[in-house]
Amino acid sequence: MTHPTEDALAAYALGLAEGRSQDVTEHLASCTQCDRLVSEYRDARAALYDWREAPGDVARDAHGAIVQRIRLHRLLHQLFVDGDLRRRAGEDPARVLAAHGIAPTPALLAAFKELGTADTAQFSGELDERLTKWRRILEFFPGGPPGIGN
Amino acid sequence: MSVSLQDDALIARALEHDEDAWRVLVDRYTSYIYTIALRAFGISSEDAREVVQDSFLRLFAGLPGYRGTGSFRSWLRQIAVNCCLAHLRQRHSAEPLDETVPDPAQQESLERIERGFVLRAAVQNLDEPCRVVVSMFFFEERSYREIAASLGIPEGTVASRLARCVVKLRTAAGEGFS
Repeated sequence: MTHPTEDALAAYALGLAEGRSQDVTEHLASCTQCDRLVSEYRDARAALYDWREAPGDVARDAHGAIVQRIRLHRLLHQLFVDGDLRRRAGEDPARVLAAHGIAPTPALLAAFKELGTADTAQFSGELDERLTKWRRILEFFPGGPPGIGN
Repeated sequence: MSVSLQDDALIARALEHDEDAWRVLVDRYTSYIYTIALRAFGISSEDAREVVQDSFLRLFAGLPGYRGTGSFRSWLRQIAVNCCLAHLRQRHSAEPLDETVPDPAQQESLERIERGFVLRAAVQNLDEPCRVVVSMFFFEERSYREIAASLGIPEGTVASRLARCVVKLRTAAGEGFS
């Protein structure tokens, strides 16, 4: 049995083999090997047609949101250990946020003002307490800190 | 940072809050999540943007809990599916949806998208003439005539090149093709 070339089978599966489709159809009726290959190409065609490239700004915006989170985490780490920075954050949160490359939302400004003016003793507590405060701040941030299963 | 880094290496850096590692991860998986939202769940392109962002923010929050026992993509897919379902529940709040898992049609679509992800990556490894013609035909959904006009070649050549390139794609994708 002479098999069609793989190019011919691929063209058939993609609907490109207008002139030779009858020949291939007849061959496939008696050749399970080629028929299976054509099925693979058809499935691949369906998968490729289904795929959608996201516009470039979708990835840019998503990365931007992640970067904001990262910078906020870094800043919060510093706030927990740097009393002077906390004082400055309380006095002028917009400036501190901008200096760390963080977009100042109203909720974030208010949260930082509160955090910055809090008693120093509040920041010498247990890790759980720190994380609770941290989490509360993050709740003000777009997207919140939801769990995976939410 | 090299875009060829494997997921595990990227995740290790992402956990250290490396912004460049996150850029590579986001670039690698944005269209994957976007396609899941659009094709498996019928979410609009505008809302799919939100789903992509929500998914990455959940990933950011949950990454420290990733144990690496399964494939990262499977884990990310579950996050994206949860975001899609949450989005649909929110959009249909007047008529609450009970679904918390994909239905069979959605599941079938998700499997097709898995194959699409592998093929999409394999397309990037094709030689340039193939990469161009395959991308135009499948991803940009351009006709033979448009492709022929754009590349300055006869329509018949577009068809034969496409067939030849898809055969190459099968080799490039390896086991991921079938």
